[in-house]
Amino acid sequence: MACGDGRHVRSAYEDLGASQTGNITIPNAPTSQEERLDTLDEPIFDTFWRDVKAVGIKFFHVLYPKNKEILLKDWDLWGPLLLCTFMALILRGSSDNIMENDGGPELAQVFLIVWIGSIFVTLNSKLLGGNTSFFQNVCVLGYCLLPTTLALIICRVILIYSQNTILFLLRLLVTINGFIVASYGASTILGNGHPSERKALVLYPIFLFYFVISWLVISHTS
Amino acid sequence: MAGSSLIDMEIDTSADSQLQFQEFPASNVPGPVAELDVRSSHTLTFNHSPDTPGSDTEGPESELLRDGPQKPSPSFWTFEFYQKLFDVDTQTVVDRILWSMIPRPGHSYLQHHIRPKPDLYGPFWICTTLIFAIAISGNLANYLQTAGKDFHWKYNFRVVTYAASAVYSYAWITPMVLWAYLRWCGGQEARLGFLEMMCVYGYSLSIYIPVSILWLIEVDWLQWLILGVGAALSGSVLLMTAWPAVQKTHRLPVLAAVLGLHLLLAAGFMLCFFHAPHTSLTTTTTPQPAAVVSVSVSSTSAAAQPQPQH
Repeated sequence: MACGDGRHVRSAYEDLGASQTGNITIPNAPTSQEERLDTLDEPIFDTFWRDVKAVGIKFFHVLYPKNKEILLKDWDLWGPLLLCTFMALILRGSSDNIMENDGGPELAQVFLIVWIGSIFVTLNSKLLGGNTSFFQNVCVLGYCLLPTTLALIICRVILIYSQNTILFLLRLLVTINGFIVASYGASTILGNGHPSERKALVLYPIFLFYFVISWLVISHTS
Repeated sequence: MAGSSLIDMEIDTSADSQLQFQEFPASNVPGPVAELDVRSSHTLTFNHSPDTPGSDTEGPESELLRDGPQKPSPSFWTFEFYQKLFDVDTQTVVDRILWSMIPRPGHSYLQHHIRPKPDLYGPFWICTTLIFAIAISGNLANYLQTAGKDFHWKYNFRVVTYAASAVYSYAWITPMVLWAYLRWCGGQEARLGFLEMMCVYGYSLSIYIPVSILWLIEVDWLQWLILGVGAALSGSVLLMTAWPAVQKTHRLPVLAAVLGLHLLLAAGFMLCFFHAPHTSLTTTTTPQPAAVVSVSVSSTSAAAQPQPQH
């Protein structure tokens, strides 16, 4: 039996007098044994950096949609998880003052809204006859949270100053902008697989999803 | 027998007769013998109308079996079953929403709009939209009530959870109860399937979405008027749907219950989330027991420590 790099390993049958040799070559695979084990031996920084680059590329393509297919082709859920966790940490209400209005959502409630919302929007799209896979849909919906997250960061910065009507209108404008960019991005990627009679049915839940998240962003005042 | 040493069998000869095949003598039976002639072809026709007692097929499935090619309806646990429930176009959904708000006395909403293909798209997304419409408008109304006063307003996310429990339970449990009641106690004239019931109920909630936005206008009598008009319009569609299916004797209480629950849901929302508080500003107006408990608990703990200023 021989391995890809030509090393000859003694097989059991050689004892009986027959010898087998050959080369197993797989197209596009690393040609040497050492290269194949590289990702196991590589420094952690390389592994980490490769994933970070993949996530970063997708973030870029959400904001500057030139090649939208990249979000569908190699989907991953790191981006949605990062964005969701970040938003949930900022959006959760304070629990000290219960006598007044209870404040914002709990951490888990934001998580639920984002993930259960993505699941239901995806299920809706698939039940109406979509052709993208389940996780591709969730990936796109999650990555398109980036505009709303950026809007949240900007609103948080605006909230440092003492509030008046103009600053509120500014926050409203930023949030609406985030909502429009997010829904537009998600709908152009996800809306394609459906006939025109059903397109509105597929796009409406996407709008509702980003609308609710934008409402959470604009209502965050503490 | 070879190898029988391994197996020790005891044959009970007294029980032999139980193991014997019973033989029927061929021509000893006097009189006419009923025989099934399998050579001639028989066509079996079965009456699959939903009116026959004991038929437990639901509306849409039985109609499919009557009209189209004989395809077995997919099982409840497959994806295709649910895909069949989402087999609608935009125009169909828009039509169903519109006609659920406008009652036409001679024209059965169920027959014309829902019957061949009830869907679950409408009910689910209308309920979800209603929940967030109520939550957002409720928070906005609360803000407008306290604006201009010296009161740091923080929005209340709990409205979403309360509204969600109320709307989803109404949209699920009420049709289930009504369907169960009609199935076992109702008349035989018009059977209503469970999916159709849920569909009608879901679409009937659609009028409350513009109603909840209109409730932002902080005029007491106007809020009640809008509530009344909204509940009357969609409630009458509900009534006309349920009317033929209820037996004459039980008609009035059942229909009163249907309309009453519809009204109660809307009134609950209005009173809880939109009505201007007549008492002090710091207490919320929700009569929900959970909020009352939390307010009473926190009032004892807040009295013990000074409240932090925001």
